[in-house]
Amino acid sequence: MVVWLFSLLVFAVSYLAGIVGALTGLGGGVIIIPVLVLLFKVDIHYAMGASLISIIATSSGSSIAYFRQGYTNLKIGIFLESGAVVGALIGAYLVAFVPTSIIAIVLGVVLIFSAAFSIKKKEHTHEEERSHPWAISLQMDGEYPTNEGLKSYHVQRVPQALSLLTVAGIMSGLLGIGAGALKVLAMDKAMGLPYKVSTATSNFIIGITATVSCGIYLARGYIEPTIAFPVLLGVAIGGYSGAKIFAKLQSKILRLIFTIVILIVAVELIYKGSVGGL
Amino acid sequence: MNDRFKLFIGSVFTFFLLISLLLTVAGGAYYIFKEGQSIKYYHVFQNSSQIGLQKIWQEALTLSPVGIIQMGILILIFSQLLRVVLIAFYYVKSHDFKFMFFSFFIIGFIIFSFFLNF
Repeated sequence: MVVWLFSLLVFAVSYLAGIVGALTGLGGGVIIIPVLVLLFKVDIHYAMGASLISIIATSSGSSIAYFRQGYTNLKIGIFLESGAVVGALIGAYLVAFVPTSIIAIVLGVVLIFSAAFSIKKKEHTHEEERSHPWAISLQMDGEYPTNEGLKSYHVQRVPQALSLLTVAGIMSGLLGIGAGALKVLAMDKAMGLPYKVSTATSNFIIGITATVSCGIYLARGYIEPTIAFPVLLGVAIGGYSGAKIFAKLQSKILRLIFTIVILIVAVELIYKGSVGGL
Repeated sequence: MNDRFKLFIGSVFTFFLLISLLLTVAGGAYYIFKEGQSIKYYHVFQNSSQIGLQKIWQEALTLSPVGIIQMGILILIFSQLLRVVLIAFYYVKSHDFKFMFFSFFIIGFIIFSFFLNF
């Protein structure tokens, strides 16, 4: 395939990936890696590099809008990210010792169970819940915009969420993924945050976690600029478009999209783990 | 976080994202203009050699298409660091020492990870 056509097609796919990534809080890499590897026959290392750039681009494109709209909980994001960066560095070191194929399969299985659990879950009512002592001490409770005006929420099980984010960071370092699925699940399930707050806050921090792994990826030559440029452009613009749609969509639709996408990620991880593609 | 600072941080994010996108568009268009009709094979990973930050800067300064794209990518990556720096600055200003600590902790880790690899 000639360069201009390759770039145009990758840009188009990346635009869609950016929209999905922004709506689900997963980053665009979920779609980018399988499309580049399976459709465009790109080596997995280049695909992982492009995926990492797509995560940062989605985060940059969408989080500005979410931040201004008031969905992002900055304190929760910064607190949880301090666990994720430690995990990302540990993961990057462990990559030489742990078979990533095994981890990919385990994570894939965990995500399938999470997807099944996620689709059954009802939205929290929040009013009757009390905040975790850490959340009170760190003043993490917040409010977010709804059709009925600003609605407040309480924050639960902070230590569990921090542990999950550290695991998410390790996965990110090991597998070259944003681990947005684990981040959204930690905030949604452990902390009991409103779904839109979980997604927006995940979008805000996935780019920061990905940055920790970027040094390693750049040094190893995984980030090929001629593949990364249509991905970066498509995903950043798609991420911005996704953020514009986000406020208008109902949480249950977002949850359904999220569930479908993490099922795809799970199958992708199990497949790559089984064939040794990681 | 007050609305004024939120607007300021949002504007800074937008500015660096736009700079990154503009450089990437410019480099990408230049690359397609020069190499658009050629065929590249990406199915085999070839770049196994270690590349350094200094080499990327040098390539960008030659204004080659790939160099310009790399500069756009680097600005995108460093905008993430800047994001945390601005948040840290906000917490310093508002005397929120707990979150100031968390922000500086993240900044330290990002910088450490880059020095570790280059």
